[in-house]
Order: sequence, then C-alpha cells, then structure tokens
Amino acid sequence: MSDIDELLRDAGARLRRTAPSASATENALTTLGDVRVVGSGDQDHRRRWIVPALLAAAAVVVGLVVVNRPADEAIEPVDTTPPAIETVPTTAPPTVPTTVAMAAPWVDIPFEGMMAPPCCAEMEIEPVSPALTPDGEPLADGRYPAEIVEWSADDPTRLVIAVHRFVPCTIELTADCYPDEAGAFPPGAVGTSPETRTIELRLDGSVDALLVGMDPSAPPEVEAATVRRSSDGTGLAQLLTEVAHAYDTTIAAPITTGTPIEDVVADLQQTPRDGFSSAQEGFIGQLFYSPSDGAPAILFQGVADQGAPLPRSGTSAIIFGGVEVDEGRMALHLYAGFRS
Amino acid sequence: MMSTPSPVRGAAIGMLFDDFFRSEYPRLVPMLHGVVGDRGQAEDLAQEALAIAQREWGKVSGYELPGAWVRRVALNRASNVRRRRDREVVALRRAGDPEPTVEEPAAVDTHLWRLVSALPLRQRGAVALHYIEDRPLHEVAEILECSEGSVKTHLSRARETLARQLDVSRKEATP
Repeated sequence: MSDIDELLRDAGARLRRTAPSASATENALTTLGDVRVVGSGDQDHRRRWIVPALLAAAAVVVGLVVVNRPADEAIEPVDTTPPAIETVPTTAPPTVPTTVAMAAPWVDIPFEGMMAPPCCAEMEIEPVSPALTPDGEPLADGRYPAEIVEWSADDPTRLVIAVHRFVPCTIELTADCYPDEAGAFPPGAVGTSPETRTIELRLDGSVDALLVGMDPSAPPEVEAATVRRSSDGTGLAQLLTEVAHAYDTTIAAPITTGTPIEDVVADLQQTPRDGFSSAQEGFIGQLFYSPSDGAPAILFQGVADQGAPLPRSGTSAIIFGGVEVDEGRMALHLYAGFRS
Repeated sequence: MMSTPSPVRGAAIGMLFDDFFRSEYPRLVPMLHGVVGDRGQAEDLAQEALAIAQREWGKVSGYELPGAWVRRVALNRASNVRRRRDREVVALRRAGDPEPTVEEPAAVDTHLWRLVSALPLRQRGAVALHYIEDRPLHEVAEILECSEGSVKTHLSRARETLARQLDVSRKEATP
C-alpha cells in the first residue's frame, strides 16, 4: 500500500516531465493566431452567470474574486470618481428612518436574468444600457453594470453606487470585452463603458433587492448549490446590517484580540454558532452565514490570507452585480459570496 | 525539465508576450492535463488562455500576478471543457453507442489523472497546482484566490476521495 500523498507527488513529477519541448512550444506560439477562443461561444452566448465554486472557480472560482472587483477580472478599473454624489428620487424621501421599517419577506425568484460581476474573460450579452441620464434624474429603464461605492452600518439605508453602461464591445473598449483572433466578438457582446454616474440611494420599500446566495443544506456532492431570493431595500439594509454585526462580533473581534484567523474559522466550522457554519462539505469555501430573516446564505469562501488587512467587513462577501430599472423601479442584483 | 514552478508573482511589465508564452505554456499544459485528464484538451486550454492573455497583454502585463491570472482563466475554461465532454458522452449514448467513452488521456498515470479530473473543480485545481506544478500552498491560494486553509481543505478532500477510489493509504502529510 502506497501513500496517496506520495503517489500524487510521484505522478505529478512524471506529468511535469511531459511538458512540451521548446520546439513544441514554439510551434504552439506560432499557431496561437489560429486558436479560436470558444468560451464565450456555444451555450455561453447566453447571458453569463458565474459558477460560484470557480470560480469559483470559481468562479472559480472562481472565483475565484475581491470585494466588488475580483483580482483576476476587469482589473482595469473604470473611473468611479465622479464629480459629485447625487441622490436619485425615489418614492420615499432620502432621510434616515427613525423607526424600523417592515421589510418585504425574502421569496424565491427565477435564476434567469440575474446580473453578476464580470469574471474571468467571459462576456455579458445584450441588452445595451440606455444613456446615463443627467444628475438628479432617475435612470431610464434598462440594465446597468454597477458597483458599491459606500455603505455603512451607521446609516444602513444609505447606499452609494457607481453606475456604468453596458455598451457594444469594440476593439477600443477593453473593459470586460475579449475579442477573438479576428478582432470580433460574440453576437450581442457588451462591455462596461467608462461612463460613470454615482448615485446615492435609500434602501427602502421603493427598491428591490435580488440576491443569489448559497444553500448550506445541499448535499456534499453538489459543488455549489445556489438559491435566488428577492426582498426590498429595507430587507437588504437589514441583511447588510446583520451580516456586518455577525462578522464584527464573531470573526473580527477575536482576530483583533490576537486569535489567529485560522483558529477562528476552524472553531466555527467545528462548532457552528451565531449564524456561521462550515462551508467545507460542498468544497466551496470556509464558512456560510445563514441570515435570520430568510435571505439566502452568504458564502465566505476565504476569510483570511487575501492580502488585505484584517479584520475585514462581513459585508464584503456581498458583491454587486448591477442595477435593473423597470418602469422606473430599481432592482439591485447582488451575489452573496465569492470572496471575503 | 522544470524543477521549480514559475513565479506567479512578479511584474511582467516590459516582458514581451512571446517570452511570457514560452515561460508559461510548457507549465500550463501538464497542469491542465491533470485537471481535465486529457492531453489534447489541456493543450487547447493552455493556448486559449494564453490567446486571451495576448489580446489583453496591455493590461495583463501590468498585473501583479500575470501567471496567476492566466491560470485562473484556464481553470475557469476547464469547467466548460468538462461540461462539453459530458455532453459529448450524452450525445454518444443517444446515438446508440453501446460503450461511450471519452478520449483517452495520452500520458502517464492515466487512471489516476482521470480520477482527478472527476473531482470538483477547485479540488482538482488545487491538486494540479500543488502536485503537478509543485507549488507551495500560499501560491496555490494566490492563484485560486482563497486562503491557505481552504487549499488544505481542498487537497485533503481530494486525497481522501482518491485514496478511497485507489484503495491506498492516506497519511495526512502536511504539504
């Protein structure tokens, strides 16, 4: 009986020795122009969605992603520093509520049509976004890539977002566009325009929140089981507040007092509490956080060692995908958990 | 041929794409072979990922981790390869093939790598980066964008599954 670790090391070394020769590599380089990149082809011509495990993978992955902007995707940043933050009119006045608003319950919604952060050289497919309206005016009906600029538990119903536009891919437009060898793009491929409009929203009943999260009860053989639920802005504000508080008290606090992050994570995996449980069974991360209000579980794929100072904010696990406006009503598309 | 893995960290600024290709292609192919269990598909994946890097070279060459970026793109696309391969098998079954088979891996340890290629993507990615590319855990974590703890978990789960399937012992060596 041999040991599996030793067996893998030996087999890995043997496979490593099968690396293409210098001449084979030169041949591959010479023919690189003939390579047809098909990842955005076949079924991927449909609207893109990120498989959490990649990428998680994934995602991978990847997914393998930093808060709002994964390191391996759309690394060329768009300009998110507009001259001024403005407030879009909503049905409720932009004031901090003094009473606790009743949130809409989280209910299951179809997967189709959800927007996700761009990832890993895959492209979004139509529709193109309408022109960004002038400051002070509501956004026109349509879909827009967007990202969170500012949110704080101190004022949980205030959300500042940077809104961009989906525009047809061209060679000159590089953000989220990946041309094939002929300089062409899949039909309907859109990328992110550098145009930016920063908007301050009030998370209340006038805004919808669509959240893709995880299903901790999925069987272990399922690589990444997702659930999609929606609530309103009030529900989102309460969720963000709850997650931030849970992270601060259960994860950040012991880190601050010197407990190694690995120990904190291992302890929560072994002894689930305060909404946290192990996400190892599905091989997709370290921890789940299961909200108390029926929102999808949030995946903390990695809690530490991401190159950023600790402790991090729990809300960094909730990633903005974009904004959809339908008959004047705004829906925020969010993804609960690539990296944290 | 290669005793040490390529650095995933390191400025590629000023590096010519051709040099990047010559450095990465020979390392990507064996690694991806382990991931998808097929040499030809591994070569295709490596070329696809590098073709994307070439088209994005103006940006990619400025990344802090260009080697990690191209590996993430390749691993991401590897998931599609598996799905395509699965669909091909289904198509063969529908066509009445009595014993549908996927293309045989051409290199060594065929059975082992076929088992690896059936693992969840992040597990096989971790296995390939650690055992084939011989990368330490912190580099695997950088490439997969997760913590070292997660990498250990992926590797442990992979070893557990493979040991059971191969009927070999599983000493939990610290990688």
